[in-house]
Amino acid sequence: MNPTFSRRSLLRAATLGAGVIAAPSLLAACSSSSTSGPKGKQVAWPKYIPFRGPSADLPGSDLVQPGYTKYPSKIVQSVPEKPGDGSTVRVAVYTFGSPPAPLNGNKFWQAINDALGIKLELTLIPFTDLATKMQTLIAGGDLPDLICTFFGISIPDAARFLPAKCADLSEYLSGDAVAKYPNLANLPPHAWQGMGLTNGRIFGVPIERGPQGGPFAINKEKFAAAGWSESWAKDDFVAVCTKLTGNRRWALGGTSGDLGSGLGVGYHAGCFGAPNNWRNDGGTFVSTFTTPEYEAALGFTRDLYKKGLYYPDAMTTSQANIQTLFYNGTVASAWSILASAAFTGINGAFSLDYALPYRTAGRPANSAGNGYFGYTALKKAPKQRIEMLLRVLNYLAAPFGTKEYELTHFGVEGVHFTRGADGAPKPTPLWTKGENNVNLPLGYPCDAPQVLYFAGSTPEVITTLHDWQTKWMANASWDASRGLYSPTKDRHGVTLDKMLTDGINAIVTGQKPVGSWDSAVKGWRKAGGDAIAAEYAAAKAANG
Amino acid sequence: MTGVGASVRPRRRSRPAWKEAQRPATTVAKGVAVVAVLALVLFPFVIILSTSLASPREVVANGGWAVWPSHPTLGAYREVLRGGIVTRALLVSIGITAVGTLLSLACTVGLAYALSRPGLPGGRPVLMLILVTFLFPPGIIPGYLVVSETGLLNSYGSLILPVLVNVFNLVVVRSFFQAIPAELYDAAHIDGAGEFVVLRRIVMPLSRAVLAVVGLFYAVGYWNSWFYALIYLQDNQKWPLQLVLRTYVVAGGQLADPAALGQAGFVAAPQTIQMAVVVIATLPILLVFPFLQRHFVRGVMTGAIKT
Repeated sequence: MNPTFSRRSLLRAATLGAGVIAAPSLLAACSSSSTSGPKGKQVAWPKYIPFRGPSADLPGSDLVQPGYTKYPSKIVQSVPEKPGDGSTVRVAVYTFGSPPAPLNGNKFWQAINDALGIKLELTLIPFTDLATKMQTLIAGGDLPDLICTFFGISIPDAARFLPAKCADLSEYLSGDAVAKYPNLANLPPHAWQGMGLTNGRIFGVPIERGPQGGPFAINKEKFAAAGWSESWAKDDFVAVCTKLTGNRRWALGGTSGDLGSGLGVGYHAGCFGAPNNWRNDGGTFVSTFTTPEYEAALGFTRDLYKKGLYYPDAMTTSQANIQTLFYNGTVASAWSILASAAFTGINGAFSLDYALPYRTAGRPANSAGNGYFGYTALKKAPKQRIEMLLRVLNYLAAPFGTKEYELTHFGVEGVHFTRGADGAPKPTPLWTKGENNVNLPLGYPCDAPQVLYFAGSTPEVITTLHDWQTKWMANASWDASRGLYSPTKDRHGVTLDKMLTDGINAIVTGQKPVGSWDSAVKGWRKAGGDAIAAEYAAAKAANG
Repeated sequence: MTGVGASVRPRRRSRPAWKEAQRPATTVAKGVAVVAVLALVLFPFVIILSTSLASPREVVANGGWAVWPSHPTLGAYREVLRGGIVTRALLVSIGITAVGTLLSLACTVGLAYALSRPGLPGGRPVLMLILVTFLFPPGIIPGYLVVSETGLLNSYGSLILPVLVNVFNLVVVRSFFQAIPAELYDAAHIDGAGEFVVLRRIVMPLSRAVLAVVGLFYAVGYWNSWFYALIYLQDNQKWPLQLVLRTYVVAGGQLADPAALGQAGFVAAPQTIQMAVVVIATLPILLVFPFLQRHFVRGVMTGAIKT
């Protein structure tokens, strides 16, 4: 590289530096990455062409994940040819794992390179540092071929960045065109719609997640013994929690997450009939925080906290600690406990279940999630290369029950897994001890639609989850802002969310009265909440 | 009547002459207080070590920690150290710390010496310029662009050169040099010594305390540094220890994810991994610190006095 320093570089540094100071969202971790801009007419969503692979034991739909109580007996091939052209493909991807072993000693990585027909070069970004690293990657201008984003951490000023630097994928993926990439066509509509469009066009490939929202995990036996039933009412909720609290045991595990998420304020708000984040009232966007239902739910959460039904260190403990306390029975419930991780932690000590909302005077609704985890943008490149990169993503999106899925999720047979009597992959120590798809994070450039199958779990776990998903989605309320873009939210979302989070935490913990919520919301509206509502309304009107 | 001499009890040498003799009860109370404070300080360390050695089941059963592991295991350490990734990162960190500390000390001493000499042409503006960078750091993105444009991206140099001279350390060393009597400089110059000889033969031997403490500051800084590695290194094989260990701490919750790791083999509770990481990251500094402690107080005090 030429070690000179051009005027343009200096200007760029100065401009970007000023931008960082001016735009809090560039320095912070959370803001919307939904990127529908107000300009232009939107292209058609990619046509949904479900994969016809091994049939599930419990049927799935766009809203409910198919359940497999046992591993499919017949595995099929979904990608007939190597997608790559032998070139190096650079990927900036976040990771939840530790760094993988180097390529020359990593059989999993080698097998992936061989299967994809590329030389995969990863820039790994620890998840918690994604926003910071993304700023520098973008500012430096040296973009990789694939840029993997997480939905809560946006690309700074995505509405301008994506069209300027990334490939418009509309001609490759919109409508019937996606059929050329069958595994991408198998991504459910909720994933594409959750990701949204930029200026009405497709600039990414989503990482699908079930749209069931943040679940309220319970210790089924304890809750049942205390009087819980699926049709419980608000008073039942209090009675059950009161029975389960005492003798250094607490009914509700909680943490201090954004917008009260760790305390389940969103769950309570749904029970009280508050909208799921935003509601579209005939073209006017109404935030859940401004509704009386939300305020009532906040007051109810405060009462629960005051009665000592929450774990006393809820505001200072971590999610990992609450998880542990849930597993060992110290707390009987917690929010955001994933079944995939929970059932081994619980280790058969009790049955895991997820509670539906309790009844209130309002109209309870279950909040649906965004339906995606992040998306991958492709750096601008000639058509031939874009097609090759899409073929690579198509391979990584191969669904459960395919040979490609088996490679990307279990490794190489005989090396990373062996088959049990039922044909299910059983991981070898090489896989469990580091050479796996957590440390080589292949699921974040692209992944298969998720299914209900966890290696080693019992059929009951799958059935329970499937049953809960079916009931939850039957009365699901969607976030009206899903897939829409708000520049104010992008720039100031973190600051605005913090204003509300501080207000929520102060009220729940009793530092401020419930009446203070009104002034907190007024401050939020003035600081940007109203602007976001107007921008969502405009984006919705423009895109139909 | 007893004589005056007989009434004066011999005093313990350790107590100053103007202080009264300590009553036994006071001595005991002080001892108890010291032990209590020591226990308060050491207890977290014991918890960290014990939790890192406890079995995952015990940690889960106990709510995330252990005071005394009933079945000690090195599983968490094996988990962290397996695959040679941490070992390699450890070597990288040792290299960065050693090279970085030496280079930083050399540059800091040279610059501080020059700026400590009276009558240096342009000395004042240069000092002001340096102090400005202390007050107004450049920010992440301009810093990234400088590193990128100078070709240092993805090199070990990017972890050292942008932070080569720390202004605080520079001011401390300069203050120390200025406190050395001018007569020593004059005598050396009369004997024909040049500035480099004066620095090497006179100033540096007299400045061991400040060099030790500033060296320790630099070493700890390089050892603990992970942010520049995150920003400037694209190749994770070059990551230093702290960045690798950080991924274990951040990934703690995910390490126990059976959907990814399966159920065979050792799957640690996140807290055991985190505590093992704390031990591994802290141990080298704990080992080095006692050897530099005697210089520490003197060196820090020097920097605190305005000259």
